[in-house]
Amino acid sequence: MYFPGCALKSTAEDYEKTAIAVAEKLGVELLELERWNCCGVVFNVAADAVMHHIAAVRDLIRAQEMGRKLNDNRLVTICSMCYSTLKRVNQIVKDDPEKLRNINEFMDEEEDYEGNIEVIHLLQVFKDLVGYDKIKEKVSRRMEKIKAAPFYGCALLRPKEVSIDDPEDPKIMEELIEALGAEAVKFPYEIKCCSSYNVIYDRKITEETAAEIQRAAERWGANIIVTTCPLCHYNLNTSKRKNGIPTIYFTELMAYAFGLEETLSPETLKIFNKILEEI
Amino acid sequence: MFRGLSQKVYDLTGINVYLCHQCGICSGSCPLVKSMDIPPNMVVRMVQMDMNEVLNSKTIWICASCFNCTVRCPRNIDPARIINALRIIKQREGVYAVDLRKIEKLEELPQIALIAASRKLTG
Amino acid sequence: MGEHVKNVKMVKIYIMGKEYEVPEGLTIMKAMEYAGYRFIRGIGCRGGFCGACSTIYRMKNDYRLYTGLACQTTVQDGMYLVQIPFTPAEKPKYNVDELKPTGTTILSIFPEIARCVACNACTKACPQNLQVMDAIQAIKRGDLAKAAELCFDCISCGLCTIRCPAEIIHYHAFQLVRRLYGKYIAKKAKHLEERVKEILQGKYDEELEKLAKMTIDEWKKLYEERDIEK
Repeated sequence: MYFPGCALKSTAEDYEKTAIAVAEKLGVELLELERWNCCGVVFNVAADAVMHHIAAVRDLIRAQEMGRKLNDNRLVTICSMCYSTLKRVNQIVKDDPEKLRNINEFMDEEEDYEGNIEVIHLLQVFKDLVGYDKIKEKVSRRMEKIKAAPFYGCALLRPKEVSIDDPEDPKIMEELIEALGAEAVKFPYEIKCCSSYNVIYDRKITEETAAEIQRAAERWGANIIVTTCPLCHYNLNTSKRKNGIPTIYFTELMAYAFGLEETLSPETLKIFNKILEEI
Repeated sequence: MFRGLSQKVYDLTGINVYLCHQCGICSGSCPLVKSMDIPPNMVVRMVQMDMNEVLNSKTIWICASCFNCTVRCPRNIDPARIINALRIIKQREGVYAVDLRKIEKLEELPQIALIAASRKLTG
Repeated sequence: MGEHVKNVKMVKIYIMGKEYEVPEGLTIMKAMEYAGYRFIRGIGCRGGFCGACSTIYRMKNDYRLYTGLACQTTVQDGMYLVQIPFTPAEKPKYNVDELKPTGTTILSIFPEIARCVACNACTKACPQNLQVMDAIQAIKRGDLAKAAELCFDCISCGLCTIRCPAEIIHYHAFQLVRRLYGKYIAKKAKHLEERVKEILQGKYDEELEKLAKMTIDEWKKLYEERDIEK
């Protein structure tokens, strides 16, 4: 089962399209939840914040309903923010039965959430369920000219209770990039924050942060930044620098490596073509 | 032990701010510290001192909950969560840090930016 | 009190906290009129379509807040009720011709939609039994066709809007969704286009003129003899 989230259905359509295509190529079928709502995007840290967990629990109930038919309890997320929110809410209601009871009682129109859904990220599917050997097999293009800097951002790594990897020294995307035959450029800002919703609070903060991250990736020799988050994607591309290094989704890099050009947007294809021309 | 603001933060998070010994790792790790008016370690210090002025700082709205400080805090007191608690205190008073009807380039922003901002910046 | 009322069972209702005995089986609207209220606003079609007579009520020994249209809901014994004839909301101005049919367009005009917490209070409040929250969620993700379909039967009564903790103005947003859907997404109805063309070309002018000159009795006759689809 998979939870797309709002961004993947609109501003990050390319992310969803390529994710589904590369997963299919690897024999993974992503079945979209039949019914879902926005997860809430951010996790509310207040101990008494029940209202702000309802959206995510409702989605977990939808997964529970569909999972019963499919006999599967794994819910795959693609957007980093959806991953973090669903994962954290799932954890908090599992750890706090009292809170779960409150939420279940509030949603008296739904069946109770039993706490059995497992929230995972697509990167984990590729690493643990598919394996990098199989990914290597599917690569149909020479990728060595692509020097991709993985940018993890926050939501996949922190806090450590929900991290998909070592929060200080993640390798999961680096390994994937190498499996694709491209050069992975590990750079010091790979776990930095893109400034998130500051793009609304104060756009300047975001433009400056994006420029810093771009400069660092360029200094470490990358020609492309690869991300998992639609908000990082937007924010990093807002930098006002001329000819700044572009940011794409990791699934777009995979689609390119697998020869699935038809799933890539003209803009992304242009980015790849430009890299190859310059070299 | 708690009075005033430190008690409120404790109620919202269960965090004992007096465990902080002001090492400053949070501020050193913060990717947005240079845009803040008060660095994270000082925010925590002000909560220790029950200084309500901290509620008027820009910092509490700028923190993007990236949890870098949370991961690195040697006393495990989670500064990001403390800053968030201060934000929630203001939100529950009905304070809005942004006017959603006056956002630049709203049509091109990904919804997740707007939804996150709605939850983090409006009451 | 008339003879005919004597045999009718009476029920107790509370209008704005004041107790009244009214005949069983009346709608809330008729019961209020029976109790002496005279409606000037907060009333419209009396047929469940105009959305002007929104009412909220609670029953004895029940914490739930129920909603209904006064012209459609019958009174029950022990009903505490008040009318909410209008939900204040600014009606933003826009030009549909200049908009793109996307979710972000709607969010840029109604950004408060982003505040939805999926509590579902709107759906529970809807007297039309619409999946209101799902429609809001469809807007969030940019699926306007789905949103338009889900809110097609909205009568703009405003009950969802008054219940919403995120302060979303559903009924104005839904109107925009349907406008965008109708203009840009829905298939154009060919027969409608043709008919409009015929009208503009004056095909029906003669017939209309004839109608305009008829007397009321002639109209009545014509109406009774019309073709009725069976």
